[in-house]
Amino acid sequence: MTIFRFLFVVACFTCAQCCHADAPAAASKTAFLASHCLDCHQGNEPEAGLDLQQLSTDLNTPATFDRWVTVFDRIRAGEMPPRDAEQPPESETSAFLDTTGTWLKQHQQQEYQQLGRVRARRLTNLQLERTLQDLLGVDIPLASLMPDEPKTDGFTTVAAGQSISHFQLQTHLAVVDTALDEAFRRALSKPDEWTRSYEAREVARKNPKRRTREPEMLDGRAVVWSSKLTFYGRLPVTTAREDGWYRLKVRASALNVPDDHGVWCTVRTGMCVSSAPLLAWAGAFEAGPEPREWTFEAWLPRGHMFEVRPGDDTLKMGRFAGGQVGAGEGTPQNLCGVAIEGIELERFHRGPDDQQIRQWLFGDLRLKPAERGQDAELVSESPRRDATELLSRFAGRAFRRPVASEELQPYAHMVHQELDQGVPLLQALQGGYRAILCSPRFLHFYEEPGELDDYALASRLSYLMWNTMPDQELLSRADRQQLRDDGELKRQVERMLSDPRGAHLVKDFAHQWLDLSEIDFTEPDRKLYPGFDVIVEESMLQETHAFLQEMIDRDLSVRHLIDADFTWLNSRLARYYGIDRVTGDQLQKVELRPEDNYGGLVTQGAIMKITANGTNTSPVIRGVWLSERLLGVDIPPPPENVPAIEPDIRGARTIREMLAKHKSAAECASCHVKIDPPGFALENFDPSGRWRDRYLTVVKGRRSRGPEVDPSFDMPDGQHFQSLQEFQKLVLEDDQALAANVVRHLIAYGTGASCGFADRDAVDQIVRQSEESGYGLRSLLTGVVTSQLFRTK
Amino acid sequence: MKNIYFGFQRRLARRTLLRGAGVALGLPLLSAMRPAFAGTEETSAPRRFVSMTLGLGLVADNLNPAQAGYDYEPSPYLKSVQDIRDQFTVISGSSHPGVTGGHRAEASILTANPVGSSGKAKNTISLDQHMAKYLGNFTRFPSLVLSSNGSNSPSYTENGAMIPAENSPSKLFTKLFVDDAPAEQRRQAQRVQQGRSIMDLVGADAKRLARQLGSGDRDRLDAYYTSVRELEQRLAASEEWARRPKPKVDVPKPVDIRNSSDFIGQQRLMSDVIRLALETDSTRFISYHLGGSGGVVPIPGVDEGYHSLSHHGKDDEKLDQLAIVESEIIAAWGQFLRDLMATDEHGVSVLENTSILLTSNLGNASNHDNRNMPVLVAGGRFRHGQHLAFDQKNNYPLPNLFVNLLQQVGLETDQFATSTGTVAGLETT
Repeated sequence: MTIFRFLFVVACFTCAQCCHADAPAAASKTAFLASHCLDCHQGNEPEAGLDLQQLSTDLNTPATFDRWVTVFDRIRAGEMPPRDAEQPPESETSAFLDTTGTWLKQHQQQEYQQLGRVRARRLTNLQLERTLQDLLGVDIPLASLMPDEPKTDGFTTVAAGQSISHFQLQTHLAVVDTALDEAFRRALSKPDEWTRSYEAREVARKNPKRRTREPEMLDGRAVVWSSKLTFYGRLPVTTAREDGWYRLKVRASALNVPDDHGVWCTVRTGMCVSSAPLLAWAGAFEAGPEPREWTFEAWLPRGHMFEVRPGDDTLKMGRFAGGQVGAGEGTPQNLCGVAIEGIELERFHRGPDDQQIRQWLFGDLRLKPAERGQDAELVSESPRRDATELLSRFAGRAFRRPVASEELQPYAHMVHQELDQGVPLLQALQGGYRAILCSPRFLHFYEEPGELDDYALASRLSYLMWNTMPDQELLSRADRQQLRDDGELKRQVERMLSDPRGAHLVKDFAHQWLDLSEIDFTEPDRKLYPGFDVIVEESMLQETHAFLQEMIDRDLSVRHLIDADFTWLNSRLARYYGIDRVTGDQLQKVELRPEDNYGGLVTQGAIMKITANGTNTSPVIRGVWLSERLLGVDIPPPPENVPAIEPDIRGARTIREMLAKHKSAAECASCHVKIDPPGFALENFDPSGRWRDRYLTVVKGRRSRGPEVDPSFDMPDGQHFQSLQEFQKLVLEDDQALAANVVRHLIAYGTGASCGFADRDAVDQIVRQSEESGYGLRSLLTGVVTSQLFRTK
Repeated sequence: MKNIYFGFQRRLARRTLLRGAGVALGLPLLSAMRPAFAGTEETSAPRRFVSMTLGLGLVADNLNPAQAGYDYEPSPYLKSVQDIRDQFTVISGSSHPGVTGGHRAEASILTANPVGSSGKAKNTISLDQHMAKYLGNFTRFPSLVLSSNGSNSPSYTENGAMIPAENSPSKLFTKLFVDDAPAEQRRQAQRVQQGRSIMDLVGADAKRLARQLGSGDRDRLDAYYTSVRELEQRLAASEEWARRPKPKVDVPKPVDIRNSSDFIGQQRLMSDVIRLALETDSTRFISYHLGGSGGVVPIPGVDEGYHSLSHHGKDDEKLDQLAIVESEIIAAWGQFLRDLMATDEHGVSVLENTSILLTSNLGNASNHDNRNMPVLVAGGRFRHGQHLAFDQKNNYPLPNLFVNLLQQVGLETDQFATSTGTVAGLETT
């Protein structure tokens, strides 16, 4: 008996066992593979490492299941058997696809029914931070205290990759304590907000004769010149005495303003000394000849201060000896500068006030404040009863659903025990809250197999839209069992999008979907790409956020991801892009013209920067990224025995030639035929997101013009494109594929499980439903939320 | 251990006698007691790591021997430590790939992440904290982050935030050896104890929840349950620490040096307390940053500020004075090694159980060059005594040494930051 015949027997047996497919169907499947595939895919060195004789039919092994899906997909796409081989009759192919597809789908559906698509999903770091903040009313950063978390299929929300260890739990306990301590501090102490104003003289250096990095006084204003000197422009007067949120109002104008634009300045925060060099971004502004006022908000750990300085890399940079600036040294150098007239510093809190925090923690119990060595105290006639009542309310909010008394019991018991031991109610309560926040019911999504109940749906929706716990409105809809209604779900999506928190969706989602969180991972080589600075980088991020937000707000078609006749720019980014008709430091909608070369999210600076390494571009890296994130084309990982292609700074001729070799080798070609077209189409964008007609080369350390960029290539189906525009046109022929890609990413992100084989029909259905809107982003989102996939575990 | 230090060792051993629970206990016994804490059993001798990082570098020509290999002629700085030359290795021609930014590269010394050059908001985990994350639970303090001046350190958390350093030897001494006030001790113990009750409670709740949510979620909730159990055991250990009196050492609490310019005095004093911390096994991972102070170091022959001397600009007068200061730094470091050699633990010296790295972000402080970092590695179970000379122009990746050091403390890993392997030629004994 050959192994293949053995496989045949096993196949029949397994199918009969697990999905009741009849034997003839299995036989046709095996016969198809035997006559059309086995020639190459067997033996010691089977093509692509796939030996069909060895391929098991036990679909319970995930790797086997995936293998079969690959076989199915390659045959369905017509990629296999290869074009130069004898092609099977269409009827045989479709019969094979039918039986195999049903077999795979039924297997997975059955598994979903029993276990759920999404299993034991847990809150991500961001979700934990926002939930603790909303639950307790505190505003301190918490995610930064947690260990890094892995992404699975691009998202930290995907349950399959989420892990828990004693180390994570220990940090969780510490995070919970930090949050609770802050909540109790706020509840038990007097308000700690204040506002102070400082004149220019107080902002500037104390001793005008000393050479330092603080502003100098010039004509009654505190001046910082344009310079590369680190921490120049630091304002020690803003140094935080306590960790907290600070609001800085700066009233300033520019000195020696250039003719065609203002002086762009950065506002950053940090310790501002060499031994602690990290600087966090607070914002930017464009100062002009007339004084104006800007407001920035930042979290300052104790000892950190604001730094305000010109931050435009294209300005002439002042030269100051020995790393310090003496008063008067900048004036003769004819530099741009920022002149601060005065600042106002405010310590403030985000979110609810202290009274609301007290209400959440202590309900209506009277609080006897601390005095003369006595701790604060809660006044209660019946501490046990009050404790149970408060714990029950808190647990309901923390667990995001009503808590049955037997579920609360262990937590109440712990608090009662402490009360019995003489622990004051206030402290015992904090212990109870601590326990609730370590509970798996707080950390995990409560989702039972089958259709989600109203509360589970409320949570799933809330974490998709806002990455935080459901608000009062959602919970009360769940109380009334109204959420499982399409109309109500749609209304909730609308409401949540128009809420101030609605902006979270686009930012949080794009952070992971488009890797926007990696925007500062590399720094474009300053010699090769001068003029790129942190303001440009930050503006690129804002551009992409604003663009996606508009797509949501106006239900714009997914086609805008590939091409659009507008974008969002401020004057600095417009200037970097070579678009000269934008003024002002506010982001604004700008109509694009063909000669601008930009158009569509795919051409935006943030995307082009993220897909390059700072020094050069690689069509392979960009191609894979674009295929997976935007075009919806899955690229398998490269074979392990093939070395990576290294882009060559001397010009892309070589890489084009190297990839051309790939095209001729069949086993490379099968993937590169998909990878390379988007990669080459975007070669006109350099690693800093700027358009280029020619590559740059470095000869003896100096920048000079290199060979011309050639973006032309062939699509997988053989259609040729000569330019980016032609490529865009070809991609837009299949806008359904673009829509399906967005839906798949939204499903993975929003439900916590990547789309499986059995989910394909559901995805197609969501896409079809939004056809009328031209596959608008808002329609797709609503389609996802109202789909069975979203409403089932 | 070499005979010549025998007498010295005995004196030290007596000085560091521990008096716990009214009975005088020797060092090995303290370690032997530890298996009583559930979940923290260990089978082999403790492995430790101390980094000493300089803010102003060391002049390469005075530090690195002219010859490579075991038979090098001592360089001017290494003359004072010739008696222990088989206890350390000199590595030249290495640095962190991509790291620039002069002084700002202090943030990268132990992370090897090019963070200083661009004013980023985040760094990555430093070598010492990486070790403490996995192995810090065996001791009262998972790690100590120390400095001579100020609170800045090259130690960064997993999330890339700087850990503030303790710069007062006397405060460190109090933290290590003086018990907290009873009220504070109670508060700490209570919190930990409550943490244990909570773990019990939520562990049981995870079981109930798993029954409610069905078998699909069970594996994951089991993992949660296991984590809860493991954390409970660790909390039990830390509760034990909180209850247990701190080790007592027979030396008076040090008096902090007021003169902030007394760089060497500070180094010697802090090194002494570090030695006590290691000998009592209070922690196993220490980073000690010796940032550059501006003042005149009070040594005969030196009359210019240390920072200004480091910008020697090849001025002979300045170079001479700088050499006096830097020779003293190496001499004090050598004395620290000798002291560790003289303390016996599990039949070997504490130095053999402790890898010690002396380095700086500056290979050349005069022009703020971050290449060719000064590197001395001592202790641990390395085969020392040689000069590993790598290419001065095309530097060897220093993160490779960090991989050696990680393996040396018992972590099975082959990667740290931009490492490409382990250091060729640095063997273990």
